[in-house]
Amino acid sequence: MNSPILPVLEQLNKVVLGKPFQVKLAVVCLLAKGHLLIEDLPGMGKTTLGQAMAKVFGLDFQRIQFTSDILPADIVGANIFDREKSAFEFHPGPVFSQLVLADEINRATPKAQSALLEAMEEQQVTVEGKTYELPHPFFVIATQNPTHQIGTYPLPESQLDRFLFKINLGYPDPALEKVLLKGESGRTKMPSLESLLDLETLEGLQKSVSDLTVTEHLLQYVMDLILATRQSPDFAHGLSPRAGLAIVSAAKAWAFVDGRDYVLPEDIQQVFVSAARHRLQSVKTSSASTIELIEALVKDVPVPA
Amino acid sequence: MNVKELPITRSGVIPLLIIVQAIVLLPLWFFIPSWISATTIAILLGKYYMYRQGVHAPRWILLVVVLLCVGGVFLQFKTLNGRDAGIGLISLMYAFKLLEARSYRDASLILFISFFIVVTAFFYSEAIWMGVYLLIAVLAILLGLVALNSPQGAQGIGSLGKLSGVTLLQAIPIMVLLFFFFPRSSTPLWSMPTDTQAGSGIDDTMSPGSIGALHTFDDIAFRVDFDGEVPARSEMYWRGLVLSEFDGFTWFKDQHSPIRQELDLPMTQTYQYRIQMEPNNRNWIFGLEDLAEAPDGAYLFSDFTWNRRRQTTQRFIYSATAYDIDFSQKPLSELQLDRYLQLPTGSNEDTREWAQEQRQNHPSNEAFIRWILSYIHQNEFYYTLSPPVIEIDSVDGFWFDSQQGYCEHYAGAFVYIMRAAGIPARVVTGYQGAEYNPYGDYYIVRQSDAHAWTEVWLDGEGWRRIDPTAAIHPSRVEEDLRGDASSRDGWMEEFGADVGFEAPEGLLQNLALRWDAIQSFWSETVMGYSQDMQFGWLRKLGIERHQYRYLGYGLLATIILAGLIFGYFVLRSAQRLEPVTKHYLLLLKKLEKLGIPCDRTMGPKDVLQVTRATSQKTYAKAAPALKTYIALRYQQEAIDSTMLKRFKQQVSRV
Repeated sequence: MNSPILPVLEQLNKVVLGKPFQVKLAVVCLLAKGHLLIEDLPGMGKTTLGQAMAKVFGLDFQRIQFTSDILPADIVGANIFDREKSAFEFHPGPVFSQLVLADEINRATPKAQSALLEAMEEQQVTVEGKTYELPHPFFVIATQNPTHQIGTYPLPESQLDRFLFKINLGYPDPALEKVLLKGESGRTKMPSLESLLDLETLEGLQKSVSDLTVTEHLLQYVMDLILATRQSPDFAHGLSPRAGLAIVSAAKAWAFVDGRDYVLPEDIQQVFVSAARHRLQSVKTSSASTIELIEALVKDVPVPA
Repeated sequence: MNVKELPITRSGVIPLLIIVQAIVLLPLWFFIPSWISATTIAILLGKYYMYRQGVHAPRWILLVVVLLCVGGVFLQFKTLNGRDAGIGLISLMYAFKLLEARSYRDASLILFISFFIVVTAFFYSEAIWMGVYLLIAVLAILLGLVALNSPQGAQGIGSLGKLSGVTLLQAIPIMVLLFFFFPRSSTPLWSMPTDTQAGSGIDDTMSPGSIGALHTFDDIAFRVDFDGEVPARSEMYWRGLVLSEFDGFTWFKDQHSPIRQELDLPMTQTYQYRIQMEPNNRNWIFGLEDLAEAPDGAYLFSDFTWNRRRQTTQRFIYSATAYDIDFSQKPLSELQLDRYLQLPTGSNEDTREWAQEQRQNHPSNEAFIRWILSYIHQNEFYYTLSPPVIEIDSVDGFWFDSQQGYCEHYAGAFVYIMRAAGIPARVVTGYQGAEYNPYGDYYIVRQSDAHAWTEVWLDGEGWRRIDPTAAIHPSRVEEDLRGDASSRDGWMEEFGADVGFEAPEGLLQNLALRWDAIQSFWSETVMGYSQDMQFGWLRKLGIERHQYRYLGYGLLATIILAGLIFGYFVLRSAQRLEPVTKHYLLLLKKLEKLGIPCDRTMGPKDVLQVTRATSQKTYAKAAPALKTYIALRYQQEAIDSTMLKRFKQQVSRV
């Protein structure tokens, strides 16, 4: 079942070695019509993943390198005076692309960051009173350096909420890294990737994902988890209803990738940490990281029988 | 989520602990030495400051200060034992515990200790307001416990307060049950050390002015509850002490021994009553004349007074019977004659000579007594609380010069004259009269009712009570005292008139009497609920003294019964589970028993996988059931009854 997705994963795993879970999450994110935030150190293959996804899904791809002096106009585009027509003409920025890789998003100033994040939320861009629709599908993969690094502007919580998932890639497995060092993977293989899907197929997949069966019983489990985050003393505040929606649609996509037409509690468990970790703030009373706290919380909440 | 691992620095917990400690310590601050009160207040304020600053006191400083305080308590009391030193020490340590509290354990320890420390306030006062206050304090401690166990700390204090209030209300039936049934010890749980400061009352000496001084005290001496017939107020002579030694100025009680054998005097019962006596730090207790059988814990002395072995430092409740004793069969012994005729030589000579002269004119004892009383009635004798001060020869000065005095002047002079004339006589002190409380149907005797009267020995009749103040002409009684005097036993009919009991007048007096009725109920029925009272009403329920231990079994049975009822409700709520849920839980339990490491936080697919990884055999049996469960729960919204039936069968096969 789902023959279109399995080869996609296969292809991607050839480029991004030893990260099947993260690759699956990235694909799930795209199918659930969400945006992806990857946080990691430079050189862990964030850009590679983005480029590979664009290529495999057959989307047009633009990359925006965020720097501290980037301006909103550099992202969304600007009206430029055309001498021949003696009129202002809108020159779309790199955001007008189906897959946008926003690299090192937290190195830009908040003003530039919010330009992109607004585009993500509204699916449209407004320049000087005129509104321009963004292409469909519109998928943003943003990468950011760990916030403790020098020269970063952490994204505010309200903007973090726009991302469906936040994932880490992490160091590759030593054996696989050796393969990488031999030059047999990574970007070197990029040109050999084929585009496996077209736009229509992708939209069809996205539609069937949203049609998946979600029973009352499963929603009860989601509610239990969300309520647990609200009651837990470990977090400054609990998950929002928007987070709940994100979790449900992500779980649907996960179930779809797994080849099922119904959602199980396991799907929720698989996507919960990635969907919740950037939306929750630990009150830092224990040494455990936010991820560990969320994992413990999932372990604590029984699945409704 | 484990509340025990939460920091107690979360919002409001420490301020609440400080408030709880302040509430618990507040009543003690009025009684313990002021430096201890000040230190505990300083510690609480200091803790608040440190909490705001987010700092902790270094342990070694704490240790030094604690040692200094223990030293201070020892220097103050010269001991660490006893009520005052103990409570001083415990309140200091209690406050210090807060200073070093850092964890859940510390905080809960403080709160549980609070339940014990709160009781210490009863060592100082058993009044109603203290009971009410301590109830509030218990509520505060409960609130502290609830907040400590709430992840949000003291946030939403309203709902936390409601929860603790409900908890307290739920505890009331248990409290009432334990109050009535919990076996009581025959001695008080705590024995109060003597507090020599408090308590006023009649002393064992009488000199001019000593009883008059009590007239200003409105304090209650004791309350009386009559069983059956009630004597007239003019007959209410509450006998306390007999004074028979005179040194020319002061009357003293002389040494008597308790009567240990049965009284062989003919006597008839008159009244039955129960006295609830306020602490007065004295050994003697009071009874309605004539006194005979002593109540429990007291002895009858040969001068027909009652004495306790210990001083009355706590409220003392006793029942007694008044008698009419016929002394006529038993003449006075030589020794007694000497004692009751004893007069000091070299003082009050004028009165002695005058008495002996007058005696010539009235050879009969009775005629002489009557003549002296009419002498008081007809001459310018005044009854006043502020007589002129007489320095020496108190009787001479009163009888011939001032002719103004209070009851002790009259009683002293009267006995002196009787003795001078050869009639055995003695002074009796105690209380006279009582105030009726219609709301509680009992009588209140106050310190201002203190009185002194006399007894003379008449051959063939025995001791006769004579109250010389009743002989004063009403016009010469000070206005303030008119009420007292008019209610006295007039031996000569014309002087005494029983005014009876008028209904209480005025709102204030009404309220005062009602309040006293509540207080009386509190101290007699609640605080004074003793083993005897418990036995008394248990007997009415058919439980005899020797069956007392069954009470313990009964309590135990009640607790078990409560547990069973609770268990029944838990089981019933389990039975109400949906059939799918019930059978799935059953399936999980079966799998667990078969050694499959599954639990409730795993989804059904994970359970399936774990089962396959653990045991193929179990997997073969359990897989159909798990698959059906997935279909029932996650593949369709409505539950298909045939599928449910299949699921049940599949579960039963595992």
